[in-house]
Amino acid sequence: MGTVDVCIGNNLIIDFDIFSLWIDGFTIEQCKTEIVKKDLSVRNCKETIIFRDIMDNYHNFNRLEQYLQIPCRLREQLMFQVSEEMIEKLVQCYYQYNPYVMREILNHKLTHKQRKDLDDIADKTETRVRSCRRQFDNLRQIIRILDDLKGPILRNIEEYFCLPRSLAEDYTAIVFLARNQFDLSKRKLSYLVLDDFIYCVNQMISNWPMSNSFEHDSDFNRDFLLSFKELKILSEKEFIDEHKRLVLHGMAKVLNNNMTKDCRCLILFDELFKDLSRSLIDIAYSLNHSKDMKDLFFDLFERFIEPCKDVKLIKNEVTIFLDEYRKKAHLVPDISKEYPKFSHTFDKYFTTISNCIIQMYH
Amino acid sequence: MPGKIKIGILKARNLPIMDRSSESSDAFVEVRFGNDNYYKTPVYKKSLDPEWNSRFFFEVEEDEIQEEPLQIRVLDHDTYSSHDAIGKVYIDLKPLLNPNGPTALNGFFPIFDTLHGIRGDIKVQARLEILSDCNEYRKSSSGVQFFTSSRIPEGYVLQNFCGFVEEMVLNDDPEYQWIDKIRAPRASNEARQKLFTKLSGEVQRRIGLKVLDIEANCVLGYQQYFDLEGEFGIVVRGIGTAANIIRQTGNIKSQLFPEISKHSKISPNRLTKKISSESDLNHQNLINKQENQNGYSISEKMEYPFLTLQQYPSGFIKSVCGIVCSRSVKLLNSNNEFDDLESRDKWWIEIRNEIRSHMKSLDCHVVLGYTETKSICEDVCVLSATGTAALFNEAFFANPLKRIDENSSEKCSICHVPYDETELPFPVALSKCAVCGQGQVPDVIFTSIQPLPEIETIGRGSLIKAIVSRPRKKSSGEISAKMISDYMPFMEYELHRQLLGKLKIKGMNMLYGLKVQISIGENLLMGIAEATACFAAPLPKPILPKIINDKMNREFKEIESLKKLLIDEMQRNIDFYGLDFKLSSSTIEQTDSENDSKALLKIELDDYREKENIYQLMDSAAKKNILACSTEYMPGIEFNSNLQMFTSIYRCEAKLVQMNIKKFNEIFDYILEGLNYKFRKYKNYVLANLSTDTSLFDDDHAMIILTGSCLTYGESNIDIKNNVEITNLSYVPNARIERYLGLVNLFLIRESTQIKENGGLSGFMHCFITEVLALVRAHVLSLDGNALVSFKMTECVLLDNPHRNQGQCLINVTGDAVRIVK
Repeated sequence: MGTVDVCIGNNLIIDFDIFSLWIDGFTIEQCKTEIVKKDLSVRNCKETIIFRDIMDNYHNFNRLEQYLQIPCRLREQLMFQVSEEMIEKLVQCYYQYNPYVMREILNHKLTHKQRKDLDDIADKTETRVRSCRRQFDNLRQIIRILDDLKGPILRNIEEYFCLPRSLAEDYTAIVFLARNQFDLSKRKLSYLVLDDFIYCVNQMISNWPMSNSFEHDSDFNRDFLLSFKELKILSEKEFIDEHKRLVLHGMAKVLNNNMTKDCRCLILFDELFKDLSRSLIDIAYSLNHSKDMKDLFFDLFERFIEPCKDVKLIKNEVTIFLDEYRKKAHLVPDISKEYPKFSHTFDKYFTTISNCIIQMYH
Repeated sequence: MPGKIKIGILKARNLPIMDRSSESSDAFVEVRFGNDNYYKTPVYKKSLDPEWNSRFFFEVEEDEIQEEPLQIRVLDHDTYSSHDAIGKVYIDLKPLLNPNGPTALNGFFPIFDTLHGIRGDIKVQARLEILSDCNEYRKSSSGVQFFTSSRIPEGYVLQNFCGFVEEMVLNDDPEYQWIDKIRAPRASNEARQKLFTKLSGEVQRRIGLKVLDIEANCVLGYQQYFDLEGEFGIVVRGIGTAANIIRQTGNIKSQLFPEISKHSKISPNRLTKKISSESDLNHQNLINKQENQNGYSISEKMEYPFLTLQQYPSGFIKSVCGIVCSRSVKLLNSNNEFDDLESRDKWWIEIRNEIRSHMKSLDCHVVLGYTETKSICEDVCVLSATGTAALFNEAFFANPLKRIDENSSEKCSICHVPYDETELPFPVALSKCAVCGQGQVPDVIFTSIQPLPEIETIGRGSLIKAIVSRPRKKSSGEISAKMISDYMPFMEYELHRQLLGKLKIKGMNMLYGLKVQISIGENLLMGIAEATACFAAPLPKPILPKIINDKMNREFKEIESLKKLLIDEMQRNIDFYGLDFKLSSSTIEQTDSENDSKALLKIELDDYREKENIYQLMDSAAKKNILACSTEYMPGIEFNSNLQMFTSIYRCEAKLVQMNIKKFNEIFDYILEGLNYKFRKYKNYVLANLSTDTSLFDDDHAMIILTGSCLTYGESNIDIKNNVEITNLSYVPNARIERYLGLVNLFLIRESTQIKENGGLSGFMHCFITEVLALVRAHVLSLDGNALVSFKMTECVLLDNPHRNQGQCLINVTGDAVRIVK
């Protein structure tokens, strides 16, 4: 090996096998071992030659990285000749994340301190520190850029980071979680994977109106959240009993196929109804406090999922319960007299929340 | 005459963050042209994408435009301290002077800083308004077009050649001036960049004046060199061929060159049986002589009938004779009565005269593919000039219509020797031409030009490389010069011997594009020769090198096994390259002395070392299956598409004294193998136009730069989507050059004091070359071009200081910006 040993071409030719290994934080030496393992045809080649080829690729990647951090600049930069398809492919690879790593990253605030402590995450998820750092930096970079931009997050991500739709949607949710600092680090929540959260957040984003002001584009509309206060009416004495009766009645109709099991289920819900209902309404009531919003997932777990799990209710039963709960709320007599827009507000709140609970119930 | 440059400094993008606290920059731009013109834009506060939209104009002299670049400097405004430099852009406005060239220049240019590399881009527009000058004593020579491509530009018709033009300027190198001791690295680098750019402009302007003097309208095959003589200064040399060309009117389909001749299978015995009568021969010689004299008188008009082109229109060349070469070793600090420039001028004149006399002694009247090179080590330099002696058709210019019929009649005549059999200029074995059976042809022909489509070749071509190295004692001044000079003939002989041996074992008989490079190090001398070998139908089939064993005590068995080895190797080559002839028994067993003289090559086994030499003549296993050539075209293969132009840089740290030929060969094999690996995904490809540049530094490292193009053949067109195609070929496969937009000539220096942090020297070089290519592309785009042909890295010097974690690299690149249509 010479002290200088490079080969440069006019067209950027990228070996995507090497690129993905680079993204995963492999050193050149590790990358070589991996390539030799993977590609049988290179077995006859001298190791130094494979090494040198990887090194050339790595040099390119290291230079490319500054543009990958602001992908819209990839289109206008003059350093490398890259085609549109190549840009898409590169960016998509670069912004790919490992859900376990991302889940861990979201457990803490995105601070400089956390960046230094990524070793723990790396150990825990069996990923390379460099890969963790890239994922961490990507998220921080996206948030930083979005801070300066107006408009919907999804559109901005698609435009500025040239990401494909599905990845952009995931990032929208992740950014939302990070920005609102949802507390995901509680031990009790540790059974939940990133996809659960992404699903829940996307449910909220698509069903609940967002704030229109520039600074708070990842907050929900305040008036909307305040309107949840009115749902308190459902847990008032005169309505809760009637609601309970309707729900249990409805459930009995839907269930009725396995007598002993159904009976057990109905009895359990009969006992739990008041607590569960009150919890659901309390959660809605408190959403307008940002501190309570942060604990949303924990509250859902502790006040609804956990009690149900304790008595060993299965997912299907909970789904039926939530469905009936929502349907029958409209039928509670006189409730719309007290609060005319009840049905509308309740549906908005409850469809989303029940979807979240079902997703989290596993 | 005065002219006006209208300039627009519009905007910039992606500037670096110069102010940490606000994470932005307060950028403004200074524009300078020559000594008197200066403009400054307002400061655009707090932005990394500033927009100035400043438009203004400078009033300038025409000759200034030829010499001075437009200098654009982007700075960050600082209220309390001095402004910080972001970077500079030098723009050459010469292309705008050309009446056929672009009228305006418009585009984003990367802002380049010698310490930080590319930092954002700036959008610049420039337009030129000029009154043309008819004064006889004028200083400017605008309107003369320069082409670095060593052929007639596509879409143009050659009217005549007017002669060889050269110019040279000498200046102090700012790096070696006393002021450099107190100057910051950036200022020093910029002073050099500016000076070198200016000098190259001056050389071109002066050559332009000479061209106008001899009533030509362009310079073809323009070669420009920077001789960095260290403390003795810097010499910028330019040579080229003055000619008159006119644009082809109408939409004439450009003739794709070369036409691959169909492999007509000539039975080896059919033609040789035809015995030409004596009278025939005499008659032909007579004609030859007459024409020779005729041609001689015309070429007499030119002081030096040297043409720097490597490709000629068909019908132009009448006969190719062989390589002529001259070398001379000089001391830079010799104090003679002349001033420095004059003495250097004299040196070159001596060499050119020698070349001319060589040419004459071969009965030729023109030298084709002429180049001049200079290798420098401290105060000793070796000047070399080479070319291919040849005869050209006088009728070519006289009767343009006849051109085509004439060459179609007897294509093999190019190979026929121009001299009389009885008055051989040097001992040479002649035989009857295998195609026409009449002319006399030599055993082998070596040339420095591109493959001639007129000469029919059989099978495919191959790269041939010969390396000679020899340690020398550390010394300086006169003694050192004498030592080098003494060794030069041996080196030449050894290179030639290797080339010949390899050629024979390849089963081939003709060399195209032969290039010899001499490198001198502190304690090592090295010569590398590269060429494309092929089997030319008119020349005789090669015969096996004969092994002569003088000592009787050597075991018979061993000799036999060596012979066997050679035969096997030759047979393998014949099969691999599709040479289509059999190693008949007569070629294997050369019987007696009569054949000996013809064989030109004997391997004498005197001692053990000679055996090594036999192995050296064969390709190493690594090289065996790689198709490569040193020319733009590969005999026997038609290219589909240009996959990639590559520049491979290899620096080895080793005690150079201990480096021998074997080790150098290993390095080259390693580099080739690396390329082979890179392109392993493509099935049919050729590494074409390979060219090596070797420099030896001190006594501990050597740098080898290999450039070339990877071209595919026989595959469906691989469409590489890129904005600007850069190629070191003078054409783009499967595309037509629509317009030539001017010469791009960039001189860049990059320095870093954070070598380790950025991937070591490899990372530094990788980055710099990527930046250079980016700058070249930006210049091409600004001229409304989409390709650069004949790209050449004429200079690449890397200096480093590992203890200070510092490195500096200096690069000069040239090429023709063009617009192509696919």
